[in-house]
Amino acid sequence: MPFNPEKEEDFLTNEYFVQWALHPNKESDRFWTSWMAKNPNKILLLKRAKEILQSFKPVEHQMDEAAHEKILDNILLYNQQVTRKTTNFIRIENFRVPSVAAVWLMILGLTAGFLYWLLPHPDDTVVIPHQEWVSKSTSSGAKLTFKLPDGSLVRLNANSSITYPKIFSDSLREVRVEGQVFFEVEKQPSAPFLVQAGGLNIQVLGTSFDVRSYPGEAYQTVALVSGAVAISNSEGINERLQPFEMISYAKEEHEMTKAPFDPDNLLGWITGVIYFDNTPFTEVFKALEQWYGVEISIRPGLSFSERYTGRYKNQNLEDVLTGIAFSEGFQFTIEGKHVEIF
Amino acid sequence: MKISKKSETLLSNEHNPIESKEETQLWIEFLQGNDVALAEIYHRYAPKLFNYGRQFTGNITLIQDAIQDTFFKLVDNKRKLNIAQSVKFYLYATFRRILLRSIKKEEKYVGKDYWQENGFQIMVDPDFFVLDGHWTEVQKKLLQNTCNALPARQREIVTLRFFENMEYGEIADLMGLANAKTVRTMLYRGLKTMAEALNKAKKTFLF
Repeated sequence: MPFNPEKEEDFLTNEYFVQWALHPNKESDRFWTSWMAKNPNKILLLKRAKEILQSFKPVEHQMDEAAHEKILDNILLYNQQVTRKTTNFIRIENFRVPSVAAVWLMILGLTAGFLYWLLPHPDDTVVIPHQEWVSKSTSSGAKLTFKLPDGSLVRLNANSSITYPKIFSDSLREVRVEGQVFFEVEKQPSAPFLVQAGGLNIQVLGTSFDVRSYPGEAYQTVALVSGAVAISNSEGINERLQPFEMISYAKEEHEMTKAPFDPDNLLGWITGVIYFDNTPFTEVFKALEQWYGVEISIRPGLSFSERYTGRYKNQNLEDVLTGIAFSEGFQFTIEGKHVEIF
Repeated sequence: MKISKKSETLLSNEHNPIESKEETQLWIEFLQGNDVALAEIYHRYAPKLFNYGRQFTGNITLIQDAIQDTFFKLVDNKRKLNIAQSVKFYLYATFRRILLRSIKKEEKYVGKDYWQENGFQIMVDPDFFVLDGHWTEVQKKLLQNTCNALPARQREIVTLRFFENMEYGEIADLMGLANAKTVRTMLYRGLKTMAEALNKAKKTFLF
């Protein structure tokens, strides 16, 4: 779809242009700057169209300051009351309540070996006899959300799977995952929730967490938003996570590091955000393949910039590729599940 | 007396869509129980909600009550919310629902369709200046009238998309439209109408 404006109005019907004129971001800046460089004879036209757009404003109404402040006071007061009520409730009930937000645990990468759970069990029996295991998985480009037998919520990202017993045992809730999975675990103090992903074992007590563990990826990560988790593997690595901390396990180096995490980057997949931050182009196309469930073939001999930065929220493949294509100067076709870049 | 525009300029200077990582961090802090974060969210969104509400009704008290109730609901539902939620969308959707409900109650005449109200006015900046200065007051007025003559639904979509920077899916959910594609189509129609008006305005000048 070549964009070939002849007059200012033509710019107006280009939604990407209007978006840029009113809400520029790094990505669209680069795109339109490069477009102007390629179409120097249209620069004046573009500037005029931009000015016209920027001259449009919604009629604005403002609240008077006194009302604005008074409402805020009421809100803060209300917040105090609600918090006090819940805190008292908790103390009486003798629960230790994690932060309000859900906990995301991310386990990245899968290791080849199968590692055993090291933490002490409440029971002596570790082996659960005659369990019927169920498996759910997603293919490239698909996501899945559902509930486990105990009511815990599970979200699978693309190319991921989870295996769990049809009926959870009374003393232990055990699941195995591959890929990227988000959990919101129901609290059951008598039956700890255990996630096995590659070589990592994650013990959970009523939290939500995101696990990212894809074969072929160099790192496994576990990120916690609220609650508490303990992570271990057979090499004696043991870590506890606090809310908003994540661990990153480098599979080859057998090293685990703990750090705070960027929710936008790590959790974007749940809100439909694709996020590239200085990402090498090979990874960009791979991520797009996974996200949209397509196959991308690139004409040999094409060269791209080293890295790419961009952010797309709930956009379809065509829009995302258009954005990247213009700044990189390639063309593409989409036919069903096949994308050709040339 | 102008409300402090500090938060507003922060956002408009950032070349980022509203749901930036900074906003997600703010949201997380609010969910953790941080009062300052709650106040900040209020400062950022209360004026926008007020403006948005003002497009549906002139009853200031109704709007202010709706804003307060929206934030009360936010506090009530804090435990049920999670990071996957869009701050902006939650506030707008809750506010819209509360406000429209209270407007309906207030309306003396039954069945008044809010679409018929003169909401979502768009105006041309009176200081608008074009490179070669060809635009006259008459032309500006003509353009403005065309935009404001767009069907109210298209005007609301244009406002939400270009002035509030909302995503299509969110706009669809907010306005109760079928899906993102419906929104896009309506937006495109609106833009096309405006483009034609622009063309017409130019011709008026030339002759």
